[in-house]
Amino acid sequence: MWAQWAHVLASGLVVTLELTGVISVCTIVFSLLLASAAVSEIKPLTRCCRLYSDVVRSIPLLPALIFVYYGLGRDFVQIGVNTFWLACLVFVLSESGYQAEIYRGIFRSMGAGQWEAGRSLGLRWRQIVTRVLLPSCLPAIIPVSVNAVVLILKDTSLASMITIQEVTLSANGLVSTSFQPLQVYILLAGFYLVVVLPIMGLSQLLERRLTRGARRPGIMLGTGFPGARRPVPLDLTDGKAAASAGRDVAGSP
Amino acid sequence: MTVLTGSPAASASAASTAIIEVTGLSKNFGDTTVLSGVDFRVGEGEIVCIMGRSGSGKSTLLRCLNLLVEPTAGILRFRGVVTGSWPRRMNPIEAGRWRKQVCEHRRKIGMVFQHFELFPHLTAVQNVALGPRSVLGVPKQEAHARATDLLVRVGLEKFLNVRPGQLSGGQKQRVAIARALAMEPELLLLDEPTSALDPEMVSGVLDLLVELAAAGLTMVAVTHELGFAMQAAHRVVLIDDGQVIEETTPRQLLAAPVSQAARSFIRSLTAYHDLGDKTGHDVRSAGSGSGSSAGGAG
Repeated sequence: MWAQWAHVLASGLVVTLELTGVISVCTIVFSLLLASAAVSEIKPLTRCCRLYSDVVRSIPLLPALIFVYYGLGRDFVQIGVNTFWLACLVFVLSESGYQAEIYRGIFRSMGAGQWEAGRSLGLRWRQIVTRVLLPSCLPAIIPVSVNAVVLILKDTSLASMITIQEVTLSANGLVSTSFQPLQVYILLAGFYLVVVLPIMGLSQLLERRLTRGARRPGIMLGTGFPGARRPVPLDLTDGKAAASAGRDVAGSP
Repeated sequence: MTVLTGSPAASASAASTAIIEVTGLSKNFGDTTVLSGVDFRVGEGEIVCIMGRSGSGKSTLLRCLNLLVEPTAGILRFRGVVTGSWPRRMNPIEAGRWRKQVCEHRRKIGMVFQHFELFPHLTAVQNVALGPRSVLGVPKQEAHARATDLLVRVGLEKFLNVRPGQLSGGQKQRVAIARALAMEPELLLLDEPTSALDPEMVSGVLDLLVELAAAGLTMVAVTHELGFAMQAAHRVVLIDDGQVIEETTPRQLLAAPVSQAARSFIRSLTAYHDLGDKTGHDVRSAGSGSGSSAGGAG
């Protein structure tokens, strides 16, 4: 019995992972675009992005899914968009509202000075984003994005409401045939855990890797919004810095 | 001595060719007025120091020169040509053209920041080469060769391939100066270049700036370093409450400040240098006080 359940849930899990993969990639790319537009110098663009985020974040995901599926589902099918892609579309539009705000926060806090430095060199907005902002904020962007994948994976359970055969709907199906909700849902929880825990582990690993390397904790913390006085980066390896400080003076002609 | 011989020549050249000039410059952030009606010009080869209390608007003035801050009102000229005048309204097409024009403008003006603002993901050479590569379209190898030359010039030949995280403050600021110089700017803006440095690093950076000044680079520096102003500046502009209250040679400012605000500012800057005198004075006055009281008792 358990083996049979597990088999059913596993096939549901495949759909869940497909959903998660498509939605995550699209959400991260779209959110990065939105966030970099939101910190650009082009005022109307900035305002549009903020408005988009605010509107999207004020709409709950479940009603949005139900609305689009029952309200527009038939029209979408007519133009060749099946339920899977319809769900992906709604998820991406909704999740990127939140994710864009997170990225925007990273850009504004970590990138404020670099933004100015890039502008003072005469770089265009696109150049600043691609050559300065994205690569320099990567250590902060990656863990946050992995976290977003976890959130998205759990949110995909909402897709069960619009007949997508992902793992939660598979479990519901098992419950209605076996009448053993406790056991089935415990198994379901196990399935989610098995997938989510490794991703979280990966997130922590990445975070440790990325903060240990070229970037020191002080630089991560010692930031402020534009105009704010920035604290001098914390220097945890003061021994070395002091040594090089001595050299600095001695070396200057 | 250099200041005395340098200043009349500089003012003469300033009269003929101003590299950059703002007239009637005002800036409001919301309801707060930061600058109100500032006239400011910098001549070819001139070294100008902007001084003033914190919050007086000196950094904003500097940032208006390369349009990191957009003025609320005023006219900005670069080599006699009007770059922009405010207040202005723009349609989207004009705005697009204006953004391009602003990039053009900034590319001719180097800027050095208080907190260095190096790109943390790039090595020293890459930091310096980024501007020439992306803005001027210099090929990678050439840009890197030039960057290496510049870093050697600022005394960082041992740190070419090191990321900013592993450099000291003084070294970072020298990379930042090299980065600004790599664009071959016609004007270098310095926003408190030594304020975030440890005391023992300051002299190295100032030496470099004095060297650049001697080489004829035009500079505008917001600074609290009186020593630097005395040694290198042709002119000091003192700003208070968003207005220019005094514009003179550094020597004159120190010797005979005209306004009350200038006097109190100079006093605050030189407070530490006077410490010895002051304590001596205090001791003497205390001594005379006790003497007189003793005399009264006797």
